[in-house]
Amino acid sequence: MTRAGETDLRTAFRQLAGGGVGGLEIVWRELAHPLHNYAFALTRDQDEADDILSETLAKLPGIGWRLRWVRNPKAYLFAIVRNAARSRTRRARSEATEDSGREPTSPDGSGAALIRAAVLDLPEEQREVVVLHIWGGLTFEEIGRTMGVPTNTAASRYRYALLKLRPALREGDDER
Amino acid sequence: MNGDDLKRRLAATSLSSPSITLDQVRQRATVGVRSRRPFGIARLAFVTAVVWVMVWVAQVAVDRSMDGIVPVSQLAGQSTLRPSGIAQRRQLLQELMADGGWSEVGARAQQGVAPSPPVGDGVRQGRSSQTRLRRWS
Repeated sequence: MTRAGETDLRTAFRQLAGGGVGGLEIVWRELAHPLHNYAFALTRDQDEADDILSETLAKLPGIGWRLRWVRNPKAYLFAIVRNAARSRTRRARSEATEDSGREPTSPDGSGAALIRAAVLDLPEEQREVVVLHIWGGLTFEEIGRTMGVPTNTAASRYRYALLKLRPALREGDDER
Repeated sequence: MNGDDLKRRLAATSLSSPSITLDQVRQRATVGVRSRRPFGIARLAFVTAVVWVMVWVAQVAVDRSMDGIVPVSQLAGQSTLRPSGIAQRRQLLQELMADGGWSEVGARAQQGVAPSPPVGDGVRQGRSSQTRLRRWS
C-alpha cells in the first residue's frame, strides 16, 4: 500500500469515528483483498473468509470515537481479522468432536493453484507471516506486533516459509 | 530464483478474492450502528441508576449504624466509668473500712509494726512467718 493509501485510511477512520459508514468505501478499496486473503489463509474457507471480512468492516462504525486513537489503521484491521478468525476456529474446534482437521488442499494443476496450495499447506504461523508480508504489505515489526511475537521471530518464520515455498514456485514456473 | 523473485511471484498470485460486495458490508454496518446506539444509551442509563441506588443504600446503612452513638467531642472531661460502677466501689470501700480490718492495718503501719502475716501463700512457699515479720519491721 502506498503512503497515499495510508493517508486515505486515516481519513476513512476519522469518518468512521463519527459513526457514519462513509469511510468504508476507502477501506474496501485499499484493503478488502489483503484482508480477505488473510482471513482465507487463517480459515482456509471461502465462506468463512467472506464472513470475517464483512464482520470486520461492519464493526468499524460501531467502534466510534476510539478509531481516532488508532495509530496504524492497517495493522489494526489485520488484528481484527486475526481475532475474528481465532474465535471462529476455537468455536469450530469445540463444536466438532470428531473432526480431525481440514482436508489438505488439492491443487487443480495450474501454476497459481500449486502456489496457492503450497501457501495454504504451510504451518499456520509461517502462513500468517507470508500472507501479512506479501499480500498485506505489513513490515516485520507490524507483523510481530499483530501476532504478539518479536520482529526477528516474524522475519525468521518468513525465511523458513520461503524455503518451503521455493519448490512449489519452481513447479509453478514449469507449468506456465 | 532469489528472495525478491519469490516475493514477486507470490504477490502476483491471488490467494482468494471476496465474493461479497461493498454494498452488503455497508448494509450490515448500517444495521449494526442502528441496533447498537439505543442499546448503548439504555445501558448507560441502567448503569447510572444501579450506581445511584448502591450509593443511596450505603449512605442509609452508615446513617443507621450511627444511631445512639455519642460523638467523642461530647465525651470530653467525663469519666469513662459508669455512675453505677462508682457507687458500687464506694460501697465496697465503706464496708471494708467498717469491719475494722483496714483501720487496724493503718494503725500498725503508723507504729512500725507489721500487719498479721497472710495465711496461705507464704506458708506454702516455705517462708516462715518470722522472716516475713522481720522484713516488715
